[in-house]
Amino acid sequence: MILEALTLMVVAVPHESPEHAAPAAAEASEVSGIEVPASEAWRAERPKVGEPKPPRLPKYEQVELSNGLTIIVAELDTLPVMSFSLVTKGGAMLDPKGGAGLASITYEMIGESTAKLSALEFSDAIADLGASFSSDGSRDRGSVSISGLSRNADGMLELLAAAALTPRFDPADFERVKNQRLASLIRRRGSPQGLAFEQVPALIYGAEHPYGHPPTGSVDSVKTLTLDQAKAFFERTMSPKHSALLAAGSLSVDEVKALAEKHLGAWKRDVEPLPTVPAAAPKKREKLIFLDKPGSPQTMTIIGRPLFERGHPDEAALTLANDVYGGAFSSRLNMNLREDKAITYGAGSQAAFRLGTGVFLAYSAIRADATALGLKEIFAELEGMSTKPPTEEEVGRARDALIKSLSGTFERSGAIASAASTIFVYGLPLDYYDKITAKYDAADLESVRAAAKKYFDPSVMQVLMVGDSAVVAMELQKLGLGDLEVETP
Amino acid sequence: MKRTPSLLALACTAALGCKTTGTMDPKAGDAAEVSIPHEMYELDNGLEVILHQDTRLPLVAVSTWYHVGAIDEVEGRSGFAHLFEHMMFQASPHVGEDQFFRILEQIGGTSLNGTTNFDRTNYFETVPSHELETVLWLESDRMGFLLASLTKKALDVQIGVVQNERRQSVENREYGLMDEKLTQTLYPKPHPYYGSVIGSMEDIAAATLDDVREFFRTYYTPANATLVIAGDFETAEAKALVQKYFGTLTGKPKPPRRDVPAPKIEEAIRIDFEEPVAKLPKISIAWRGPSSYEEDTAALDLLSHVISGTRSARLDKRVSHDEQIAQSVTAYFQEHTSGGVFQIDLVVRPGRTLAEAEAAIREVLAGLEKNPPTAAELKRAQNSQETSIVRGLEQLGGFGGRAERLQVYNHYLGDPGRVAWDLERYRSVTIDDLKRVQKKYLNDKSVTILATPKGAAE
Repeated sequence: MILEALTLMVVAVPHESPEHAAPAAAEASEVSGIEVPASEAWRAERPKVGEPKPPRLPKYEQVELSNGLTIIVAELDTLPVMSFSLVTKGGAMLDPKGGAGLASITYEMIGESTAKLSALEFSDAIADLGASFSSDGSRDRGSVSISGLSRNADGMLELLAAAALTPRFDPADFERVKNQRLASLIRRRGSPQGLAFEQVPALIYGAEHPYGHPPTGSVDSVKTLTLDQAKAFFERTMSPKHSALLAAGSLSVDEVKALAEKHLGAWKRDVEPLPTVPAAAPKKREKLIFLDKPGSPQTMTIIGRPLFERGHPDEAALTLANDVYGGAFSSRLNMNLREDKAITYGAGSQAAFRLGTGVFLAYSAIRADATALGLKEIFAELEGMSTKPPTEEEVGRARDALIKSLSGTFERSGAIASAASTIFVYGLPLDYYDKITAKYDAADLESVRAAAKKYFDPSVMQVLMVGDSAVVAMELQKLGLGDLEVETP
Repeated sequence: MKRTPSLLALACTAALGCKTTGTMDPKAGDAAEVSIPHEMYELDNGLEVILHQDTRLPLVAVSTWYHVGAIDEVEGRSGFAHLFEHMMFQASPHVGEDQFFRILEQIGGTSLNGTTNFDRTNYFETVPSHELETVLWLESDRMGFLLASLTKKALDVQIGVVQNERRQSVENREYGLMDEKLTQTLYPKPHPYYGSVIGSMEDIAAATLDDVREFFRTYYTPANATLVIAGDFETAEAKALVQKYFGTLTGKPKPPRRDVPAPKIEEAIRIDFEEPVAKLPKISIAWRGPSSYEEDTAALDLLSHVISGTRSARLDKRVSHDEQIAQSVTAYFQEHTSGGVFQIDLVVRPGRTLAEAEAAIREVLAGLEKNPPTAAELKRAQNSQETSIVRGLEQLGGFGGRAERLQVYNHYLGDPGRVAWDLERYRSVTIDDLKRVQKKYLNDKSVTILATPKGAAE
């Protein structure tokens, strides 16, 4: 049953934390509808709560198989379920020039026919176990994942190994997968958001950069891809030395290791070391890119810039500054565009860290006739990060939000396995999440303000919009943020 | 990430109590009934309280349901239940303006949201367990005193925000207006579902402060709400806090649930729709099904899995695997208080046609009548359905979590303790049931809507 089919939420995207000063006294009501009893004056005081319990984070254990495969396990005492994920370093960052989408298509072929099972038989074998399977090639990694009941762990790992180690690369499967992908890419160009996110990577990184394309590729690039390319990509990247099995659920590390030895122990392949991702530098904005979609009632608006490599010393300070700017419901950006101007359903931002240069993005779907006002305010808030630097209170709230929500983000085995994947791919210590609190504590007000000044520089923010140019072009030109370059997608 | 693992047999765990003896070892896989242990009671003012204790994680989830939804809307005020939900996040007198989210974010809240659908409105948050009192303070202030700090300015802003939400989720979203048209056809005026929860631009704009006050007094009375607390708390302490914050709130008696008969589809309806946003054609076919938790609902759910959802499901195999007509295809059953909907959606690939897609759907359904679901197909459908319920129970709050499960069963069935019953209702479905419900519901009285992208000739 679908209970959520027609459900509307107050927040479109779940966020993390805070906004600027101006503590709010309730405005006087025009007509008091309900009396607040005088005897309950205590309600005016926010409750004083006790000491927090220590957060309970997953305890990761790491072992290695004789073939060099890393295994990271979090044993949980919740339901009798298991999530397994075989993650391999490399991904869309390795796509060849002109061949954007190769990693993604290759991983899609994993999960089609295997050496022993046809694509249909494989799908039925998963369903018979009541398991769920997915395979995905993203920027820095590829993942082959399966989850289900713990008592089927043996069967699940057998299927995972069959898919990941012995894909058949059947020509008929490839044609089907490729045509399916092309159809999805054409469809995506119909959605304002899909169109925008297709174009953003090249705008931020430049089309030649390994991160300069969407991992799914484009219609033009996917058309050129061949089965031989996918096979070669598989041979070149899939190796136990570059991979890890991540497991979260009711099985212990010894139990997982024994099953892994059985199904993945004989896996051998040596591959070349991974290339490093070249750095991408911010550049001055020269124009506003506007993709024309006549009749749009809103303008999908995205701004962004490249950041720095994962592990950079500014990571924590920038994360806190981003929470102040747009990373939370109560952030400056959302409170301005949504709760004050009422020209959007939501505005937000994120700072994403990758193996190579990461990215800052801010976004909002703005009412068409208020597009210029919206973009002006997005930029005013960027300026504000220097002219009205984050306050002690704002930064304190952001820090609290990030630290105190830790336990809550590790409730489900899927999230726990996924965090282990991040640990492996980026070479982080096993206790990374235990120590993250100290990292945020160490980022003091000075360093957050320095990051705010450095990384929210309006002059290097690239701008991409999807909307009706006839409605908004004139006003946008007047902002002086750059010449409008209208393209017909 | 969406997951659908499965197999009904679940071991008991500390969190999910056992009705049968079962083992407490999560590694065992013996069949045992799953339950969510809880205690339910009512305050003097009629507020229902449900407590589910699980102390393993230092977290507590609070979920507040008001038994009011789009079903309670009146002519000219479509979208009002949802607009009102937005007003619940505005200043309440002791908490202040813009503080609700700010406080919850600062204390480490996760799974934080409010949602409205056809039948109910809910508000939920998960916080570190020592902050339970803060959440009860926040929730009780808006339940008790929202109107004391209500302003015209706040209403005007939220009218604007909700109109933007309509633009984003309906008018400027692929197939958003097509879906709305289908809902309007399935629930013709004056049925309250006609407005698709979001409502029309005009009706959203027409809302007044008096509407807000009246709605609050009628539906946001403690007697019309249910509070679930799930997670790490001491029972006696939690009860005392609930009494302190909610016990003195007053309000009207519980309003009667509105009894709206499910509209019948009297004849086959076909609609050609000009799609303004998307690039590919889409067909949806919808049939009237039974209302929430009525007989046949489980069988229709399972039938939808036989038709679509895995590579070898009947329709997916034909239109995605073999003939490659579809960019995407889904079949699903939606349960609502006033008439459910069984629906098939298919987005057509470039170069293929709506006519081919429709013919394929009709042929697959006819083929299913001739060659009924096999035991293996039924089993896979049951596995998938059951594990989607069970995997949700991994979390205390949020979408599909334990607090929501308790609320769903309480709202629709008047008994929060129905999770085992719910699993059983899927387990007991037979192949004959699938054959019977297909014949009974998937008949020629359906609504077919065919969307052709603007500017593209079919």
